[in-house]
Amino acid sequence: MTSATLEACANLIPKPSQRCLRVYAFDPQASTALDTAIINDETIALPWERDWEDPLEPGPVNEYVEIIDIDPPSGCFYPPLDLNHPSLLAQHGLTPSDGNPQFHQQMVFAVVMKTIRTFERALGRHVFWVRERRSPGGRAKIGERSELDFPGFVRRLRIYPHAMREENAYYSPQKTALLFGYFRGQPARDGTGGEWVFTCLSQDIIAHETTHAILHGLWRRSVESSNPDSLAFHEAFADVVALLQHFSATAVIAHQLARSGGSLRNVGLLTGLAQQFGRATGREGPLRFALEMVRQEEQALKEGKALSPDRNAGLIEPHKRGQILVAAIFDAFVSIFERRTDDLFRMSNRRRGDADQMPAELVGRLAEEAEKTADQVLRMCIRALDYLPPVDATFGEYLRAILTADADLVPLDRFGYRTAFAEAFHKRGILGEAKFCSTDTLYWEPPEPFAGGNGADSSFWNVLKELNLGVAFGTIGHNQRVQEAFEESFEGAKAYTRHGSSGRNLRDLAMMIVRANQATMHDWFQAYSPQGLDVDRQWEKMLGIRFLRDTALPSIRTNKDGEPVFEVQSVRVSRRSNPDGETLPQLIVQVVQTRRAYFDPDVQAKVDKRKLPPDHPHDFNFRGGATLIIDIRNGHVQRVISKRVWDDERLNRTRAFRLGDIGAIGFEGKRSDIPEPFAMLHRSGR
Amino acid sequence: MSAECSVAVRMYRGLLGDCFLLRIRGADKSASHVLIDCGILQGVDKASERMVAIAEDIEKATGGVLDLVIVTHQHHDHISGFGQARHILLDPERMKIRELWMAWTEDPFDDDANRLREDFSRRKFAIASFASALRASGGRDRVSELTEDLDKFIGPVELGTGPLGAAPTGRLTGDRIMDELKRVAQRVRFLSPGQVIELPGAAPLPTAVLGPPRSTSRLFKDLPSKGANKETYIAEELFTWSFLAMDSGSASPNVDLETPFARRFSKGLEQPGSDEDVEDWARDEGSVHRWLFDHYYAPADSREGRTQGYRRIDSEWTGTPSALALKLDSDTNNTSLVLAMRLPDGSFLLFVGDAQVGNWLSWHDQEYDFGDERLTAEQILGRTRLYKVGHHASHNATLRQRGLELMTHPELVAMVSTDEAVAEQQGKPPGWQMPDDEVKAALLKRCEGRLIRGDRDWATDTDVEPFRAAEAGFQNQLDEKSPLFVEFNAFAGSSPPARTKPSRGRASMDEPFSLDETKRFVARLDLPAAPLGGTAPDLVFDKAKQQAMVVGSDVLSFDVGVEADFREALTHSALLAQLAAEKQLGANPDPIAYFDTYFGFVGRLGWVTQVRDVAHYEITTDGAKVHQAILEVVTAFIGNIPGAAALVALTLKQLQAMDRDSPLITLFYRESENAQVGRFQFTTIRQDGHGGLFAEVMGFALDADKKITKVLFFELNKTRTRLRRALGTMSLNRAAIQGILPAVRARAQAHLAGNVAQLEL
Repeated sequence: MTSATLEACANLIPKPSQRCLRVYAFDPQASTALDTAIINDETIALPWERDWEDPLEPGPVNEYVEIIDIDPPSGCFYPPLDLNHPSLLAQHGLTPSDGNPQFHQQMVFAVVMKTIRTFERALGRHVFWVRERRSPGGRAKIGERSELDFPGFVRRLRIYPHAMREENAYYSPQKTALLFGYFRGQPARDGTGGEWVFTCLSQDIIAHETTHAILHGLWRRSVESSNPDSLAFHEAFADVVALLQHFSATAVIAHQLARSGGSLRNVGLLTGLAQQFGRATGREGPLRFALEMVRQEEQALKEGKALSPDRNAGLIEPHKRGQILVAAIFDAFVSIFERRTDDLFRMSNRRRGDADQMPAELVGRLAEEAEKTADQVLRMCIRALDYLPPVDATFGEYLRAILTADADLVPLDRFGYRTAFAEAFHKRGILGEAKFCSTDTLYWEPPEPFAGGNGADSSFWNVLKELNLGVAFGTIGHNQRVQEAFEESFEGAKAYTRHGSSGRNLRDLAMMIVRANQATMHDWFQAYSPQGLDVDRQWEKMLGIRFLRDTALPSIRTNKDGEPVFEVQSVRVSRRSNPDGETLPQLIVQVVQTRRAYFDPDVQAKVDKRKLPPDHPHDFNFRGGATLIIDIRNGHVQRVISKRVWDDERLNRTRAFRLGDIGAIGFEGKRSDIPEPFAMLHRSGR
Repeated sequence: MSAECSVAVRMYRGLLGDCFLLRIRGADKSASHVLIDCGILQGVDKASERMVAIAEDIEKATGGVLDLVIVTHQHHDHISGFGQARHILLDPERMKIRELWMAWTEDPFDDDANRLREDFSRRKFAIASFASALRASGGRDRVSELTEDLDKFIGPVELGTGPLGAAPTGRLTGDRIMDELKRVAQRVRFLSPGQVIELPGAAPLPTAVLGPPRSTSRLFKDLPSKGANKETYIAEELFTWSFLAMDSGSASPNVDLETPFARRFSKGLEQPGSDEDVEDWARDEGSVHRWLFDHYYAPADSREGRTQGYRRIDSEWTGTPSALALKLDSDTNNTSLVLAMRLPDGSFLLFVGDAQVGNWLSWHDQEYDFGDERLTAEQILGRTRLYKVGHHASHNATLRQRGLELMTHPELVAMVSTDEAVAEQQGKPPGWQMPDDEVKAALLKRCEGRLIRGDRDWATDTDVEPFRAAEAGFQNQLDEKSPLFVEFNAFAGSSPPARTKPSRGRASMDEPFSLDETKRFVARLDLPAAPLGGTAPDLVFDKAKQQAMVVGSDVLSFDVGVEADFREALTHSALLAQLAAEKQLGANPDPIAYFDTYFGFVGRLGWVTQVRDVAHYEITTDGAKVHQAILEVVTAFIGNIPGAAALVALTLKQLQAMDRDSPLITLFYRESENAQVGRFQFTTIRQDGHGGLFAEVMGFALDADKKITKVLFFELNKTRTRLRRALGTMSLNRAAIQGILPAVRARAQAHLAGNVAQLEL
């Protein structure tokens, strides 16, 4: 009988469930003011790395991100932080300090991971990253493309905490990287002051930029600007995520709720939060703008003044326009919070807004409810992303997406969440093209049955049986597309085809399956339907794109065989649970087609009537496509949210928008695609 | 109506910059000259020599008189010549500038304009001082690429010395040039879009002001707003401070590229010198260098061999200054003054400066009232026969749909001031495209080859080859003999129709002076009741002497040569304006508001304000020496006006030497004492060599902590005094001043006693 080795004994110790890391709740400046210093310490608890994920290595580098702390302006770099060092494990990481670059690495890592986990929970699947082509909008000639010109999955989001000296931080779609800047304020007259401010130490900024990256990975065409809402949506959504995530810091929220007597509409509290979140980094602007908008609307309503639904039509600048959406969502959140906590005030025989001697228990319960509500609202917002058309989405469509996604998952709206959203959006002139008042008229319509009684479901079954609908061993399958996807895939996926459990990575496998499904789906769309041409036509009509050579418009791009080109941008399975514990497994498919578009409608008409050659140099890309949602419990095509590529009215609107963009009207129109869309947006949009 | 009128446009050549001289002949064959911009890109070889040669040619061609100078915007390539050939163009002995037109953005009375200019100056200054610090720091590899482009358009910065450790002071050469121009011009007009005014001189061609727009959203998207956000630092400043370190003891900043953290965090972790060295640099297994190699420098990641080179960010940060400079550059371009001059046949000459898209679009925001017709921008563009192409024909300063495509005149001619070869050397290869291929092609097509370039002869330009045969007549209108310029006879025809009614512009600036109107104004002035009794002092004015009058709280000094009539008229005018301002504002007004009102009143009496500003100073000395300190401040304010400083100093000295009980002192004391706020003025009247009359008005407001005992000798019992100063430089309309003498004399008579006294100098 040999004694067990020490190592084997160590295996007896269970893995921890959480990894706690300390961060600033606000930013370093808040630690220097007495009333905020006590609540400026926050601990973020992340789930411990699972066996099927990559381990956490120095950097920090893990399954999702890699933090590379190079500081080019200073010509140096800072050593990668090892979060597994016993001294750090024993004390929840480094103590917050703006003078220690390794703490910066820790904080960025913690907040980015927290944001990623929030999304994964809401979406019910893995978050992936993609890479944009080298120059969006730039036209590489066929034969001159290199690997870099094609979009592709990227394993880890790269994060540079000290990328530049500038009051700016941005997501680079081409590098799949977050770049954080740092800068110094102006010194005082005596030469003192001029403190360094680091954008990577603001929770808001980190969450905001991470959201851009996640959104891009989820929904590739979202970085394009095709209507006044598109870039604004990107900004607003990122702000919403940043704002609602703050409510998970219960200590901070409790502190503020105690001061405001449990009211979230209290102006002092709101602006206080906004200021704290953005101070010194110049980001308090957007939040404050949104909160001020809510306040003014409240005021006007109180005075009995009608709010014009068109009052926000003139707001064009993406950050400002985005704040309409932030204001609407925040308003919905507060309404729901109030409804959920009214009973607490009645039970304690107190009035909301009375801050005098608030019982600590009440404050605690309120903070808890605020956290829960924020989490639910945020999940509703994130889930809705799957219900948006793949291109050219508007705020109104986002409202419909929120309501439909929620209705599909939670059929009974017990707490009136959907009503709160619809009301808050309507108040701000975001109407979702509703012709009726009832909330359910805003849901996306189910697809119309195909003529001849043949539903989409019956033909879709042909491809559904070819797809991998789960991420596990049994689903790997052996069709040719899967083999190809494996060739291309990451090592972690290939490990599933070998003996021995080492090196298996579930996210890699999921990514491989998405690739295989995309290819299978593309093949299926492209092939003629065995049920006859008529069914193909029905599909074209439903998806708003053209697969058939004979029906395609000449301005739609074709491959070298003359077949119309389209992209299947994602085929993903999501599994979400509703509050009743029921799981809703859905397949989400996005198809997109691109059409050459011209500023001059006459030229457009000539190209489409073949009076001009199809490769006549075009001015911009016009895209159409659809999001398909299939319930995989019964293979039913549940929703089809489409934007038709031949919709000339929408083309006219897009053209007008493009022409209204000052880049488009001069001779620089064709070069208006700047390589870093978010860098310039943030640089100028303080 | 058949009398002759002709316009010749001379474009100076070989400049990447604008300099246009218009010779306009009217019915009587007399010629007037209009100069539109005068500059060259910074850093071009022999820039100064070239500009001096051009200035000499302008002097020769105009005989030393420019009826009008138009400055479109404050970019080096449009104004540098006024600095480089300052001794010619800004010397009133050699060049007389009768009138100067600038955009409303230069108007010192306009709050929007002031905010805009302040914002621009701060941004420019931040970038320019950064660039100069970079240059001074020597050729470190990492920064050399940054110096490109930065200050090409902004122009040099003149660093001054400030208090130790403070922000760098100094000013931009461009700011100084603009100020000096305003000072030497006999009349300055600031133009707003929608105005229609006449060219001064031989042929009063009505000229519509198309831009720059008043709306900031047209100008650019994100001008810092007033109010709460005003305090936030602008991006350029933050950026600058992130790279500059103030070294106590040196006045100018140094470039600081040290890590912000303690050295221990990056000890031994400098970046490798070059990509060739990087493998050697990372050779040690397990080292931090190796880690960084695997995760950053290696072309492919070590685990799966996927490319990662595209994710490097080595030079990402250097894009910042270029992007900021570029943004500032286009913002400034958008403030270009855009003018359309109507010729007798109804066609137009269009000068757009470097207007960019926002400016072009804004032309359509209003209509233009020429008196005999109202035109839209579309109509003006449709009738444009000469288009001065914006921004050296770059891609971003000519609008396609709502611009060039609307220019449908059958004889449209385009003039492009460019030097393609020089442009290509700018920036990163392939350099700036001036002209841009697409713009050039569109211009050639639209003008059927009538495209005149500063760097080519039309007769040999290969681009116009296909058109040349058909355009022989056009060639006859061109004079390309001189290496210095090309001259285009743009128009010859009947003279302008009867004077059109100019549209109403801003009061006092644009309205022509009317003597009758002014006399009525004097007669109706609302004045306080005249004091009873007292004898009016016996005032003797003498052209040959330096003289000073104490007029209320103003000391009015006259330089030798100012005629007696003027002295008297100005003394009365100053008194009336003071009384009227006091009456209007009541007792104890805020001094700066008072000065504003005062300037307004003298403005109605023939004094034309050219420059005006307000500044604040704090003086700390012991009470006894305060007067000396103030004297220094006063002298410093007007130090750059030859003659004026000496005159003020002399006046002050005389006052100081005077017995404290002298009636004169008592008068001045009574007038200027006013609880805790003291107010007094100095006005110097002088005459230039050409008979032009100028006034420098300095109003001072003193806020002391305690009651001021005596203002005149500045004996204050507290040591801290805040001094506010309002400065106005005014040119005086001779005809007006002389014409209203009887009127002002009549009204002032009753108030002379107790308000005016003569001071012997």
